[in-house]
Amino acid sequence: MMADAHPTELELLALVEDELPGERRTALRAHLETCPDCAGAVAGLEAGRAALQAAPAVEPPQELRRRISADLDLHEPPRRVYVSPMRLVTLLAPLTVVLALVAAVASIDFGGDDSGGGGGRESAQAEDSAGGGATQPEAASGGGKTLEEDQVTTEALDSGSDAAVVVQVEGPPRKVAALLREFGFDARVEGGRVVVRGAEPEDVALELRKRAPGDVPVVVERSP
Amino acid sequence: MSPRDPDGDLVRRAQRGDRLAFERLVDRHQARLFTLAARTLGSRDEAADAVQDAFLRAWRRLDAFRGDALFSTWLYRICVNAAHDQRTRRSAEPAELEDVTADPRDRFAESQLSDEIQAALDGLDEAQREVVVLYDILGCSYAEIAEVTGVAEGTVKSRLFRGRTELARRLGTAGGRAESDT
Repeated sequence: MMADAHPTELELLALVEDELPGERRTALRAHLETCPDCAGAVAGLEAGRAALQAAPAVEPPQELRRRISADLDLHEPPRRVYVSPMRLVTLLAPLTVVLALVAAVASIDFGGDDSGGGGGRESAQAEDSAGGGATQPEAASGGGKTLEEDQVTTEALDSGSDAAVVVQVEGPPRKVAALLREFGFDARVEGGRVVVRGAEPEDVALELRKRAPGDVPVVVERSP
Repeated sequence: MSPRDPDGDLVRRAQRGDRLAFERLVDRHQARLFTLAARTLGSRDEAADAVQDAFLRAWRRLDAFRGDALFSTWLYRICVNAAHDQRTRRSAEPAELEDVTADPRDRFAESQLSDEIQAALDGLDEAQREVVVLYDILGCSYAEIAEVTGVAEGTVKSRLFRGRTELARRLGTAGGRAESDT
């Protein structure tokens, strides 16, 4: 009875990958004895797997490692700033004061009659909701991890002028501009140079990396 | 960052600008990334370009890596995208640029992987090829492949089923019924 119902593709795959519980596995094996379609599918899965696992290794060319390092030479990564727990306390102290003030004002607005010591507790609650999660009170007592995991990042990239010669490549300029337009850049030939507007110099340089060096300057003007 | 990520320490150091830490990550992952790109693109030259692009993209976007997935999974994802871009570039190469290389056709043929398994892989569609390479050649889990390719695990399994079956058919090693289809 069970053997008459065809198993799904996913079940046949699970059988081949030995991921089925014992009972179901036995039932499927029994089904395969009498069903050439499913037996053929399993044979195909096993043969495909065997062929892929026996595929010879493909070694990277030796110069690839050097090319990667050369790329890294040209580009600085955006750097995540590490903030030590002690530094974090100093950084967060003013924020805590501000939040405490906001919370105090809020408690006045709501006409709370708990004068005196209750203010501190309320401000802690306000901080929790304002900070969107684990921030001030816990962090100030030494858990500097959260902020580092969060979003203290800074771009250490191209703080340059509005127009920069990115690279000098082999011409003619018309072909360089056509190539850049293929990749979606607004690129035009102007006075023997290729001018790209509204793009990041690094992105343009990335696309032109494989072009031979030459005497056509490519200039990038960022959007105003 | 997941505490179980074997690359976690190096990634954290690299995120603080430690270039040597990133270079070690390159050493660790270069060969597997190259296999992934070469087996999905079928060309050594294009694979080298894709892997070079992938590491540059990873370096430049390192601050965006939050450690929700393993670093290797994140890298595979970038590499799969770089390989995809490479393939798009291949088909969109403007005719007027063909003269950049002296003899592009020869150069292209020379860099092609010519083993039997590659010929069969080349016949799969791109999505199936990515999955079978990640699962059967690189040994990734369904969950990792789902992360890398951005689809559900069920879809990964379905692609694996179809990819392997088609591959066996192309190699002539499938069960009797499938062979008679050829």
